[in-house]
Amino acid sequence: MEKSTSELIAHGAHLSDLLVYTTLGFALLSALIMVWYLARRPPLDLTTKLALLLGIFIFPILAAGSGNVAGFETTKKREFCGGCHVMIPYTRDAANPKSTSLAAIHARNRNFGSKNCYVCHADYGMFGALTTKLNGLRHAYHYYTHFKGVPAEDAFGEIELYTPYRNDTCNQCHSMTLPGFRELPDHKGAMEEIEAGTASCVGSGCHGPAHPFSKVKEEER
Amino acid sequence: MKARSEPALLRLACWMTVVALSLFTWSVLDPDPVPVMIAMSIGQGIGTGAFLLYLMVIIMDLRRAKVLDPKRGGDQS
Repeated sequence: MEKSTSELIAHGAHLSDLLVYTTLGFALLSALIMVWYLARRPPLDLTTKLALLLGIFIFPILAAGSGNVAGFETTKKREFCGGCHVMIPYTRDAANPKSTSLAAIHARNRNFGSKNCYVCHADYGMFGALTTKLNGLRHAYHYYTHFKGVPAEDAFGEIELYTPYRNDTCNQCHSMTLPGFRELPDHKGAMEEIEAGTASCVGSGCHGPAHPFSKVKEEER
Repeated sequence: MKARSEPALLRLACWMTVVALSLFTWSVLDPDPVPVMIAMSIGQGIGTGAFLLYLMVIIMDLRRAKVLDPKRGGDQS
């Protein structure tokens, strides 16, 4: 039986709470052993070695493991993307139930939900998660070296993707092999360009722009 | 490295572990870009460094106790 949106959201919230408590629990256990060793300074016998193995390796690796998963899950959330002020107009539009932008329409789909930024902007492929995270570091670098002091309205003209939006990302859900897709006159006429990626699904005149502010730079040119 | 440096190395490893865990705790309690990135990069690095220090002390201890002595392994065969 299919789960409802609220059930899926509740399940996600429960999982992230569990990860947070797991991280805090193992961190606390490790910290207790560290405090014990630093305060008591016991001789390095087998008991001390085993206690330190738990305190320096086993518990921290479990805390770091759950902390990393919690961190990765956090980086997929729309609120996380909106953590940089220049992204707030984008995340606000995506969360607006009245917005008719492509991003907002997708955000209202339960398969995207609060992770809509990540689902649409994550690289597709075997190492997609890794390249997406590396790009995230690049975003952070650009933010702290340039955009941090720029008002969000002024940043619209400067923010753009590093590479053109890949149609592969849309094709994860919208298959290009279905007759309904291929027989549509607009698709039929540009099938070669669509398949080659030279015509973008989210281009102006097709299904884009994805965000109401995406094409400010192009329009100003 | 002398045996008397081992407790100092272990104390350093303990402090490094405390710092790494504090960074992870910060990142889960305040999941903003900066704490999350710091925990997953610097926190991870400090934690790994702490474990390597602990491992080094254990290896030094085992070598001193001749458990890791190559000649001992040869005698047994």
